[in-house]
Amino acid sequence: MPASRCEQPESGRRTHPHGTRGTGRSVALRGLLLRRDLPSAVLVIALLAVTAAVEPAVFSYEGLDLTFIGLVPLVCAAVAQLVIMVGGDIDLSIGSAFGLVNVICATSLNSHPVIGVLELLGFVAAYVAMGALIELRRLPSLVMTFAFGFVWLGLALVILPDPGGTVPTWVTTAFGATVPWVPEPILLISGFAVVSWMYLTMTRPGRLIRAIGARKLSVQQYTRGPVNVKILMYATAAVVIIIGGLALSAQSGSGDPNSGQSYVLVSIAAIILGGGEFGGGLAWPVGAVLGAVAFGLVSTIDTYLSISSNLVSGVEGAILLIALGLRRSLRGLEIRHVAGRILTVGDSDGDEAPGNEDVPDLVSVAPELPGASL
Amino acid sequence: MGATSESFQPHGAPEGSHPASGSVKDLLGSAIRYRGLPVLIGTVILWFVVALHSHGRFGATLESTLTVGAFLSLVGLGQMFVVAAGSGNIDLSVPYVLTFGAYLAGGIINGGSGSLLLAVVVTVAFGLAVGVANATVIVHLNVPPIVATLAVGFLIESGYLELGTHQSNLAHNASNQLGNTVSNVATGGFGGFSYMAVIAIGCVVIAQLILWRSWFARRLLAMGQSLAAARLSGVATNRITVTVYCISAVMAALVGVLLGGYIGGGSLDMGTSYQLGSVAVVILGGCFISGGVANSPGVGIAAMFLTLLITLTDILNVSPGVQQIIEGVIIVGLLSVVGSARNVE
Repeated sequence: MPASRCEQPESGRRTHPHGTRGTGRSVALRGLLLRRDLPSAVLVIALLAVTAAVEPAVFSYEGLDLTFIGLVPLVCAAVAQLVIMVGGDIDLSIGSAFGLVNVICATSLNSHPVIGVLELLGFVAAYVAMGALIELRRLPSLVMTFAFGFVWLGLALVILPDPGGTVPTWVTTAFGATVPWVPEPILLISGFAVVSWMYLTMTRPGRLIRAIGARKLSVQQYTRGPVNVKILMYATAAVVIIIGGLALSAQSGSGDPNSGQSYVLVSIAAIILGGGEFGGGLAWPVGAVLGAVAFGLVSTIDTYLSISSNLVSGVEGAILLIALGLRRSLRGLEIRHVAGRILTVGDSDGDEAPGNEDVPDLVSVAPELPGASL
Repeated sequence: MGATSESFQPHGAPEGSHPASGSVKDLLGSAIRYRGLPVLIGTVILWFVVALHSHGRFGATLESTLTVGAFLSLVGLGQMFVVAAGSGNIDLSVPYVLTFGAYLAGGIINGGSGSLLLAVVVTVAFGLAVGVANATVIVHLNVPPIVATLAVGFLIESGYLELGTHQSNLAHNASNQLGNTVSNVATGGFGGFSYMAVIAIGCVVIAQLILWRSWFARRLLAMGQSLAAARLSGVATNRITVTVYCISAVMAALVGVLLGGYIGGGSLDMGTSYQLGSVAVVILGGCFISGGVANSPGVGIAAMFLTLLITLTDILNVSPGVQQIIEGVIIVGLLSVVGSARNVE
């Protein structure tokens, strides 16, 4: 097994081989307990249970459809943010970018589809330029994306100074289709989880993005340079933002430059809740999607429980702190767990020494890369 | 994010702080390499442009910029100490603390009938409590600062939103809620200088003295340059983390009181622009986002720069959209220059 921390996320594998070597069911159970996306999964189940108790009508085809349709753009925001964060950056312009896509969708895409598509392509190009600038000038992405957020918002305001416009019917139909058996939003959200997981773990671009987040110097040596990877990364994020922006437009039916502002901080929080880390390299796409779903459900449930809308952000903050506190206490268990496995299966697991998530650079991803060239 | 190689500066204080090293050439060299230089040049250019636009009133422009920019520079100074601690430390709870501070003090002073002293004491205590809460979550729950401070901030936000709904006099009857003394300090002045400008300049000087001379700052900057090394050499890094978050929160809460006095009462979105604005002035002022290098005059100048930028886009009388684009492009341009200066070394 290559010494790669990046193999951990798909981590049936993390416990499976050792489980069959006879360390038994308890190890498998602990492995499940230690999955970094567990808190978000538990939270989603708990929130659904609360919803079922308060408002059983939600668990019908239409009820689920209505509950989850609002979560699709938020899930897209989390996935786009995840791609950027896995690569070691952070994107604070994501909210304004959603607003820009929403506005383009409600104006040009409706009246002159060709111009609309060109504008969206221009948006991807601008996003790529932002990524390249951050990489080439070695600037902190936190501030640069913040400044670019002004530009996206400004462009959106120039295109559509006041909320309005009309979203083309094909967009509304695409995101409001009736699918047999399973409501479309649930299919879309699961689809996003699976596709982003496959992209980040199975494809070469995804591996390079993870690698650049975990260990930039190695990427510098084995490819033509981090700029190309950053370009790829920001282009991917831009495409996901466009999908999310279209979903957002389908929901609202009109354009509003400020429609995406709330996604900036919630997308980051969703990733952290889902097991992700700052500093890059660690990908938990399923956790990120579940985290986004959890945050979306919180505001829905607050409505059912008739909690004052003033308290929604406070509830979100409290949930975040509780989930992270829970993970902190599980980490003590993790150290015992890994120590136990090192004792039982020998030194081949030395690369999974306790606490290696905290020190990304200690674990090399270089062995994955010699064959890779961009 | 994260410690990058360029963050390991051999000396903690900015280059401009060693003028004693001799010849004019040295002085010139250190001036050119001074991290606050790009933003200083940008500020002077903007000052000229804005002043020429307002019929050559250079003095008046400078004075009003100093007054309005004072609020941002004070919040930025608190943020500077937090960012200097490195390891991704950043305080995003600032706008919520600021707004809550304004409402808290407004509620106690209640238009002049309550005690000003009590209001200040309670506001400072509130700031300290938030600082301790932020640091506790970061240190003991091991939560990334950007999320921890945000979560704490959300809790505070819920607090004042709920308070504002139930005690409607807080939210609506806010005109001059903070009393005459506070609004006099926030808007008044003496001999052509506003009190706010004097307060801000005083705080910038004090902060720079702390950065130059105090043991606290040495430990803080050492921690910002390398957490592990600082810890191994016996620096109580947890205590420093608590201290910097307390500084930031107290500054934000007190600025909230002054800003409330300036705009004539609290408003729910009064803090919004300070959240990332305070981070922007820290970076533009020549501090490292990765920590270990702090520059207090730079932060003050950067606050003036952002204030002038907003004034400029106001007087150009362009649409709000174009205004946003101009602001974004100028900040991006300036950051690119600051970043390239960093690469030269």
